[in-house]
Amino acid sequence: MMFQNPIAWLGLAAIAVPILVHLLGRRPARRLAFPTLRFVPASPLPPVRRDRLTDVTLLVVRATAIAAAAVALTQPLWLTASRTRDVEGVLSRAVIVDTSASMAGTIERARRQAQTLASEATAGRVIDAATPGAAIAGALAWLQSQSGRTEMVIVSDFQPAAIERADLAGVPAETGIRLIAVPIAAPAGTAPNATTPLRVLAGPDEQRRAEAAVTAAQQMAGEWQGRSDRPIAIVYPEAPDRAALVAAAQAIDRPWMFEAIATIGRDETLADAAALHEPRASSPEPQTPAVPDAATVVTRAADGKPLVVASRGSIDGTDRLLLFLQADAASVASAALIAAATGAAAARPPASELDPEIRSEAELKSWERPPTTARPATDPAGRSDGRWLWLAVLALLGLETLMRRAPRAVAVPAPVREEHERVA
Amino acid sequence: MTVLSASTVAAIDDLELAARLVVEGLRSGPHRSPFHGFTAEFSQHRPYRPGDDLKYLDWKILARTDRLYSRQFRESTSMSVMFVLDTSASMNFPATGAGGPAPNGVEAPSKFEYASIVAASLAYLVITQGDAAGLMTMTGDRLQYVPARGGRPHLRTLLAHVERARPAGTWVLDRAIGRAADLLKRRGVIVVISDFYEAGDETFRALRQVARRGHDVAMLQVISRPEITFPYDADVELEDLESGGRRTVDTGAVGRSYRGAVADFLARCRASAHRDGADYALLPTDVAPEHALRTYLLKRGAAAAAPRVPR
Repeated sequence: MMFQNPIAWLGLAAIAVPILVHLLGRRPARRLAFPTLRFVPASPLPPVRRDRLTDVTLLVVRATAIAAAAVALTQPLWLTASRTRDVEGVLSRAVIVDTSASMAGTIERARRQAQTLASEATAGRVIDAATPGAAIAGALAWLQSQSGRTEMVIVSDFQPAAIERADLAGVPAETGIRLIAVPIAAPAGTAPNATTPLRVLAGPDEQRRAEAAVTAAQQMAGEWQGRSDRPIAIVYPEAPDRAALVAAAQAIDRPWMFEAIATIGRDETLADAAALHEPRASSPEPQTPAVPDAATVVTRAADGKPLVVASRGSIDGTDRLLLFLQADAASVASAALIAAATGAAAARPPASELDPEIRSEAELKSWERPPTTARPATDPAGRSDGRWLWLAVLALLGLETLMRRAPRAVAVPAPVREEHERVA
Repeated sequence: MTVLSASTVAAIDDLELAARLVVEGLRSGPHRSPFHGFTAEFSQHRPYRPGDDLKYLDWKILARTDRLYSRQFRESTSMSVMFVLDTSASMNFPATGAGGPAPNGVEAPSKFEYASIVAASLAYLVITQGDAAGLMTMTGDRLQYVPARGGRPHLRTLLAHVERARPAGTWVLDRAIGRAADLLKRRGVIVVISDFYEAGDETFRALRQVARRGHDVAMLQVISRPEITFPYDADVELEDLESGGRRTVDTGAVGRSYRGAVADFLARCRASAHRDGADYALLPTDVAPEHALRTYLLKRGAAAAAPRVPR
């Protein structure tokens, strides 16, 4: 039996009320019209003389009703075996999955493991985090809102940068910690050295100018090291298929595309070039070439018009990130764009991700602890057996009303035959 | 014919019908007819005829004159009966239902209802015998009366008067009794139907005066069963019907002294009546009117047939 609202025990103090009424009060006198009071002695009312037996029973009924109501308010819960299991077996689990670059090869396996762990618990949540240490606060916030036992699980390769001892210091004592290390593996599918050349789409007259821009970019940013899973294409204003590409272009939707254009947009060289860019009066195409409707603006020129816009399109069957340039192929902006795209396509991870060292198992074990088996104060399912007690209270109140209203047994006088003699 | 209980008779709305039923019950009962006892008086002698009841043979004349004569009684129409009915507030007890369930389940009648039936039945009896009946009631200071006359139409007037009366206020018995006697032109009977709670020394003095004038006086004291037995057992706030005063009593504790006081009071009333030569009868409201009246009339008849002691 557990009581989910123990402060309601204070309600038992209300039992004092019917006891006081019983001790101090007297039943209100029934009013009766009588022909004459001359035969009724004028003595004062004697001290309370009552039908004690009925009154004690009434007191017991009232006190029991109040006690039952007070206990009902404590929201008792009769703990059968299955209920005990439900209440104590409740476990909320937050699983933090390390999604940093070093996990690239094993990320799918790690995610599957995290899903399994989360579904095992009564309430589970999987959190992806590039730095697990930073995500601990968010996981804890969710765990606080849960009732029952709580556990935090971190699935990671546990490079030293992933998590520090100090990060775990903020975890409350009753929350369990589990650290699951997954071995670093080479990412499947993409060979790290495979590169894809940068596609540059230019018109026949632009070709020479485009090549000049590529050369200039290479001098600045180094050799093109684009990853094969990140195909990028630059479309110049005079590109032969530009109109068709514009028509067929779609909005970008891959995470790496967002990442790429974010990197390109931050590039300082391109930003400087955009600020200096002026449309040349002698350019053969004075009209601004069309851009797709669904394009995202990457960089704007000094006059506010878009200089580079990005969208998704298909070239030779491959979905690529298309960068439409609104400037001439021989402009500074053109070279800067190629250089920035080179940097974005390479997608170099931070150096810490190259750290081959991982934390030792012993160290990880020392940080682990199981969740405490403290019984939660309330039933997570919100059950309460108070309703049976309320039924009892209603029944007792009905009984009390019946007892109070029952007509007092007045001796019914038998008609006296002897009155005939008296009259005679 | 079964005897109608007090509550049954009281439940009959038409007072004339109720009175008639009671009187017919009296007439059809197994007892000797009580009529001769009520208003009969000796009227004349007539020659004895074989078959006459020897009870009525005048033996004195036979001894003196050697002739056989029968005494003949005649219901004299000159006999008048004046009913004095108590309409004070104390007669309105028990109010409907307060007296507890009657034996046959119908509510017990109040004293006033019972007194009305008694008055109506006796008036019915008197008038259908050919005598005169009148009624006197008093409400506060006002006396209301119906003069003593005979005849069915007058009976109806009298009963209508009884039906209209409502118990309220107080009254002064001796005044009512004195005035009722004044209204009787000839010698007659004054029948006082009351609970006599207001009776004092002056009441009995008035009764004596009336008797001295030559009238007959009958005291019919109506009382309800709860007033005799006081069957309550709790803290009760009693309200005096006449004075309006209230008192809270522990009825269980005062019950014994109350019953003793009431019994004393009833005994005193009976003793005073006998001392002053008045008829007396105690009529509890749970006794069937037919029974009560029959017993009373028989007693009165026996008293009337006996030679009267001259005053």
